[in-house]
This record gives sequence, structure tokens and C-alpha cells, in this order.
Amino acid sequence: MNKVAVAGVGVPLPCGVHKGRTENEMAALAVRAALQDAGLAMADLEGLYAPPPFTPREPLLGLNLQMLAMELRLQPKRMAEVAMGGCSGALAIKFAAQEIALGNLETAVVVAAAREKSVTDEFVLLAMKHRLLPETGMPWVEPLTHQPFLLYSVIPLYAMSARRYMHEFGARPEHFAMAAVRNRRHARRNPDAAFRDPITVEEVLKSRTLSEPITLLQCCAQMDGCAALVLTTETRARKLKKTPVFLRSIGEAHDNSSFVPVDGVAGTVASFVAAKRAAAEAFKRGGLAPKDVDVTDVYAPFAPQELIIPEDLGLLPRGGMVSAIEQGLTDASGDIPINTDGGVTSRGHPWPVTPLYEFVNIVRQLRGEAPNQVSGARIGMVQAEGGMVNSSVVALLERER
Amino acid sequence: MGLLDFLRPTNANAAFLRPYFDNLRAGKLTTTRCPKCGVSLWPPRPFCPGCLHDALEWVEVPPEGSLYTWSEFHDKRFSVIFKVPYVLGAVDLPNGLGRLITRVRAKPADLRVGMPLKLVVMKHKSDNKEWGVVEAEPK
Repeated sequence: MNKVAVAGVGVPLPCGVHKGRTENEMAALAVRAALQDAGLAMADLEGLYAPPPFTPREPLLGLNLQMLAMELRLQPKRMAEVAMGGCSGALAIKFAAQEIALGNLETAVVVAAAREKSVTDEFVLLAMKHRLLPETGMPWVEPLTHQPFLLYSVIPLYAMSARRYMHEFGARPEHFAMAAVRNRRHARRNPDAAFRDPITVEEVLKSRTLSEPITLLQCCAQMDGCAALVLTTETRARKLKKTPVFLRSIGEAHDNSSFVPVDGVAGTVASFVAAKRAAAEAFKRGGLAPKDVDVTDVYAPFAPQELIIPEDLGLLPRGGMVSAIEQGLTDASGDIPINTDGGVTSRGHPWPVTPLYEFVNIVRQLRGEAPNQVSGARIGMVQAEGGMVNSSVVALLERER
Repeated sequence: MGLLDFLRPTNANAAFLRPYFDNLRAGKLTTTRCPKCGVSLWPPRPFCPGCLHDALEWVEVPPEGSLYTWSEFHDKRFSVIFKVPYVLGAVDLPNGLGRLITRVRAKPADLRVGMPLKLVVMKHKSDNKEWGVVEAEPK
């Protein structure tokens, strides 16, 4: 099997609001930026992969790979959308990497673009107003385990997870707010981040309560954005201008619940079993342990999960994030740096793009060119989630000594 | 009529779930049980995932449970027929059947993890129909 390297990364536009652009235009700009970063040409790309479009194809089009290939004058040997909720982008990277590892392709690009903010503003609210959405319910699937009419938002589910974590480990709302403040501190130095103005713990706690203990400033920020990564073989990567960052291992796990364990009550929401299993698989395949990791990006949809997920990944013991966040251990300058790009709360969260942003940040960290550089970072970890963190992908990346 | 009054439960059109919604309307929370395995399944299923048998029977869920976790919900954008704030709770059903998420008719200050709850079926109108919704109350 070929070793697979990330040869180029591209984030051509900051995460934010891009009303005057199309998804395909943003995707094309991201491919261009990643090719320029790698020092490769369009003709070098044999594979084109993406997470699914956020925007419904009709009538707004959204990201469309066949049209994107046409616009890029690209003749891909392989092309696919890879979909599994929020972790789609990470699975698109895994799928492309496997094609390269198997020798089916030498070089592929994985790209994502979504105008989650603009499309929600322009289309979803309009559709709701004119009752264009299906009359059978809201667009969010309502499992029978959730009683109807009560829950058209995922926020209370994550809030209930937070409450349980507070009960089990003595965390207080301030600890969750500290994670949001840490993300903002990191975003201040990240030009690609959506929110960069400083915030305090008090401001986070006093912002609008959505579902207590979760307040507005603890929420992922739905935004517009795009990113791309060029993957290639070890042999080719060594001939290119940038330091190659190798994909050391990928773990993946799925828990058969939609947040609520259905066949028995043993399941906990103060921990996410899929994140735990995906990390265990990644560490086993990579022959590494959590202590080897220099820098991590987690996909924590709300600030309380910024505490829970790193514990599931094995970076800290259960409940260990409570004191770690107080002591600043997860700051870029700390022992266990997490979300040095600002995370979903401050960097922003166009969900199909989020896993790619995470890979981009870790690749930049391992190359030594990140905005909040962790000195000497050599092993990096990315965690992406889907559903109610009941899907997880964990990837370990490395730079050679 | 408000913007969202036309809503009905996402699963209300599924034929195999008709007894579930009818029973709720009649004031009972029910689920499916596999007569071959003798196992009750929550939520209701069209067939038993254990033995694949599809002639499942409807059984009543004992109307009680314990509070696993909760959150007071404040976001009126996503509140359809209930006035915010209200408490949403995850209720562990008896005999390890599973977990149910619904409204808890209590003040946050009166709640603690593990407290016993009783389940009550309340009637709510939407889409010009009456729907049964299971809610929880302190015992």
C-alpha cells in the first residue's frame, strides 16, 4: 500500500458571509489555492472528491461535482460525493486516501464549499414562510424517542449532554464558557476565522440562553466557507515544494443511537462512544498513543462538548478537562493544544467544510506555518463528528523528523 | 393560525406506526414487543432486529421512569406549540427499555438527576388534529 501525503491545502476565503458567490465558484477557488500551495497543475488531478452539498440542488444548485469538473477543465478518473452527516468531509478524505493507497490514483483533491449562513438566510426562511417544506414535519428528522412538537433544534440535546457532564464531573457553566473564550483567543490570530473580537467568560455566560447551560456564544457558528486538500503518493509528495504531511492512520466508528440509546439505558451522553472507538482505532493502526499527539482539532458543535470530546480521544482522563480548561492546558501554548484555529464556535462552521478546515489547520501546524503555531509539532490529530457525535472519524497526521 | 401550526410528527405518515399514534391519542404510551424473543423494543419497529420476525405485538410502556438529564429550553424560534421556557428531560424508561426525551412539567430548581418521574399523555392540537404527547412529572 502506498503511503499517502497531504501535498497542498487551500482556504481562499475566510469563513464568513459570502452572499455574492456560488458554491461551485468557492469550490473552484479552493482547488486553485490548494494546487498553488502544492505546486501542482490542474492536469495532475486524477480524483475529485467532496462531501455532499449543503444547499438543495434544486432550485439553488449548490456544490455540483460534474459542473465543477467542467468549470475546472478537469477530466477526473474518479469522482464521488461521500456522505455521512457532519463527518462527510473527513470520510471524503479517507476515501480519496484509500484510492491513492491502493494505487488507483496518484493525486486527488478533496474540496468542500457551503454557504450555510447565506442559504439559510435566503432560502430556508423563505421556504418556511411560504410553506414549501414538507408538511410532515420540520427538516430535522424527529426520532420516536423524542416526543413531537418539543424539539426542533439539536441544541437541547447537547445541553442535556452538558448537564450530565456537570453532574458526573462537577463542571460548571463557567468551564464551558472558558472553552468558547479559548477558541476566540485562538481565532484572533487566524485570518480565516469568522469571529475574531475578544470575548470574556462573563460575556459568554450573559449572552442569550438558548438551552441552559448553552448560551449563544457557546454555539457553533453556521457560516459560508470553502477549503480543499490535495492528496498524493509519498514518492510524488517528496518532489514537491512543501514539507509533506503524511496520513499516519484513520479510525472511524458509529454508535447505533440518535443521541438516545434505544436498546437499554447503559449509554451515557457525558461521553461519546463513537469518538472513543474511532480514536482507539486510529491510535492502534498508527502505533501511537494520545501522549504522542502535539496538536489536535476537535469538531465540538457546542462549548460543553469541547470538554467531553478530548477526554473521549484519550488526551485527558474522564473529567480531566475541567481543571485543564481552568489552567489553560489546551491553549496553543499549553501542554495539550486544541482547536488552535478557533474551532467551530469562532473559526465558524459551514458543516460540510468543517472537517477540511480541521485537516488544513493540522497540516499547517505540522509544516510550522499555522497562525497559533505549536512549536515543534510533529504529530497531529483531527476528530470529526456526525449526527449527535454518534459518528466519528479520527485521523493522525505526521511530519517526518 | 401561526406559521408552524400545520406541523405534524415527522413519523405520522408511517403506516406501521398508526397504532402508536392512535394509542397515544387514547392516552397510552405503547411500543412493539417480539412474541418470539419476548423482548420489548423501544422505539417501535416494523420487525424484530434480533430474529427478524415481523408479527410484533403492541404493549403498554409502564408510565414511569427516572430523570437521566435535563435542560431548560429558551429558544422561541424553535418552539412550536409550547411557550418557552420549558424543561426538556431525558427519561430512562423502566426495565432498561430505553430513553425518552420529552417535556418535564417542573421547575429546574425542583429537579435532580435520578429522581423518579411519572409519564402522562397530554393532548395538543396541530394541523387541525389532536395529538397525544407523552410528558413527565415528578412522582
